[in-house]
Amino acid sequence: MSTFTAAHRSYVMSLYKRTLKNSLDWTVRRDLWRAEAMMIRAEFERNRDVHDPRALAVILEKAEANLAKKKHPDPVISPLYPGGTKWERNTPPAMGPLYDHLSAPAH
Amino acid sequence: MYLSIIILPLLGSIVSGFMGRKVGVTGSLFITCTCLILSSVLMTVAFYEVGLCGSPVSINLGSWIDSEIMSISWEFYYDQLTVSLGLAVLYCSSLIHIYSISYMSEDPHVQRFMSYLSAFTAGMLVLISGGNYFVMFIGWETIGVVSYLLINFYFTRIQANKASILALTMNRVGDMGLSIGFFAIFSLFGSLNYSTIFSLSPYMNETAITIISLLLFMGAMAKSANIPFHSWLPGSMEAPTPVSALLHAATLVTAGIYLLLRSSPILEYSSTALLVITLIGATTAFFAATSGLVQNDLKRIIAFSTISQLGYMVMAVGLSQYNVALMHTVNHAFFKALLFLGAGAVIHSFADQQDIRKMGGLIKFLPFTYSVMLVGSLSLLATPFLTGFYSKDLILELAFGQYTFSGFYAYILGTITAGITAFYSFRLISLVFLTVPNGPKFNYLHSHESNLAIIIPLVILALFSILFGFVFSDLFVGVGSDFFGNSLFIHPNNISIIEAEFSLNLIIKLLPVILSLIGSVLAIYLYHNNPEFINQLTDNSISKKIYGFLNGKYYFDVIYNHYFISKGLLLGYTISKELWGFVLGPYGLSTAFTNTGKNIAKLDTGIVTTYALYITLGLLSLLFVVFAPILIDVSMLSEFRLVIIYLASIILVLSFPSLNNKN
Repeated sequence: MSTFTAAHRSYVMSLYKRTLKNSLDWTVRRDLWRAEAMMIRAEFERNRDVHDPRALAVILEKAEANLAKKKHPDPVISPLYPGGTKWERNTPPAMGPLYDHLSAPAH
Repeated sequence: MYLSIIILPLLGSIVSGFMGRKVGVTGSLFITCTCLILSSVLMTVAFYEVGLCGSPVSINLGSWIDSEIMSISWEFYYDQLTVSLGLAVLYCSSLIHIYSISYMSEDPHVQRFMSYLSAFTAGMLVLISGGNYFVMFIGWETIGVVSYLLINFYFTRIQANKASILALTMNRVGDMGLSIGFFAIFSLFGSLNYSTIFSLSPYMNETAITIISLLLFMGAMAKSANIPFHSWLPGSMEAPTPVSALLHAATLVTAGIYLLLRSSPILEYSSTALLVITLIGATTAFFAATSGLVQNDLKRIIAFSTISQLGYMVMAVGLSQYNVALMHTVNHAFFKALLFLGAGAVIHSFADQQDIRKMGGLIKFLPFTYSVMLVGSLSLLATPFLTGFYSKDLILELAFGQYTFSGFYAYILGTITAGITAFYSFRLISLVFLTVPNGPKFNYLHSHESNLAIIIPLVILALFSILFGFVFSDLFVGVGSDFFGNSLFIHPNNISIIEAEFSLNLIIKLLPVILSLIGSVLAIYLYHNNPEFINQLTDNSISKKIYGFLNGKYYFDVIYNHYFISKGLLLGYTISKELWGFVLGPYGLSTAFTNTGKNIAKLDTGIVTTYALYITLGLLSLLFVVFAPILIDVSMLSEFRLVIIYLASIILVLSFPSLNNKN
């Protein structure tokens, strides 16, 4: 059982995933990216046992700042995800009335 | 026959658009494709008759506007320029219609799509065959509107909405300049007919000609995506790929070039305008190529290459080499349509993925598509004896052959651009087809070669991209070729084909080819064989900043959004609501009418004595107005004026908002 809260764990995992994805956006090739991914993993593993909230806040803030500095200006977005090239394409139209006046409370 | 060329696509569009449910998907595909193929065959005949046999055709369908000072008729004019461009327009359009049969087969709005495509072709044909600037302007606006509809084809996408509005407004800015240019032409020449204007232009004031040329060039800049009106073109890649191929590579963007080519007898008498055109063209070519270096969207890379090639065409116009510009336009239409359609085939067979970082190794899965994309890229970077070589290389030679500052500027930027073009073309080829697979396994398992409706257009366009230049170069741009007759005018002082062909040093001629070769080899080496170097290059903050700058298109959009759009909106608001809001303008008129109504209603007080006052005032006014001629001895005309002044002043008084401050 982890001593961290679920929210904290989910945040750190999100940060880890974002860092990995950003790194892949720059590197493109997965075989070269593997080494970088290992380094990112090692960086996260190194701070695994830090439990002091103040020290953690500093570490996470530094990681976020580092990520923001290296952020790719044109990140890969999967076509079907928000911002992707197929997102919102031909969304099915609402077949019924947009607002059902007849069943509204006033009637 | 000549009118059928225009009418057939229009009919196809009307049937497919308005009777789409009646004819169904298959019917609409059959009708539009048949109309386009017939039209292409007729255009081939027209090319033979008008182009090869040298007999221009003029068709006057009757008068349109016939006031005392202006007469405009529905006039169509087919000369060598029209049929040369028409050939590229109709061939590309027909092939793209056929391509769309398969490409759009899973879309629920095929009829609407085909209708727009055909309507666009009809508009383009009106544009290139119009016999005066007015008819041409109809085609110009039609393709503008249809371009908006096509970019917004997936109208449920916010990005598509934004891109289409950007394209339309950007083109409106250019059209504003173009319209003022037409007003200026009319005030100077008293006519909008090509024949009148072109025969009078040598006798006109050079400053006036310069102003007109620059205004026309403003329209051309917006349509042909030259700096500073280029930013709509990368965004327009929101449209389906056949649209990108037809509008934003092969035809629509060449409308601006056509306008400049058509106006050659005006441009030739203004050296200032030609200088501006050359500088802007060369700068655009360089800017777009550098931006294209770091784009990651497959279609966006090709879009930047389009802007870059349009820069070359504008540059050739500025150097007065209109026939070379036309040749490059036609060549570019073929190889760029090929590249876009090839890109579409890749995207379609790869789960609609457009990011080249998630591709790689596709040569094993899509060998045919790889071959045609390679042909298109080689033609684009002017590999000797492929189509692009005969125009692109010649433009650079002609630039140097002018021996002027602007020519030298164009040569240097154009030559560097040629190297960069080769680099980003082969970067695309490397990342999509050559390197190790970087995409999800699922996409590879389902990737497959396209079917026949896609393969046939690709094969035909590939053949054109290889052979067209070789076959037609001597006709279009050969030394001493009189193919274009009167349709293009090059001032004798500006002819530099002889210098370019016979006086240039061999190294000057070969430099663009050498740079292209270096660029392409370097791209394959850096992205395929030794990718570590590129990764190390982008691993520091300065490189990342440069990457962001180039990837963000030199931050032009940011500058526009921060400094121009908000200020422009504020200015528009001030003018419409505050400055003219009182009486003039739509807002002023509507408030004036509302106020008049309210004030008239206030007269209804319900008090008898007030009504008696109105009756007395009315009677007195009537007596005064009717008996004015007797009382103050004026003529009947003045009497009429008096009535008008009387009525107008009543309305003016009544329209004041604060007649009675009760509300």
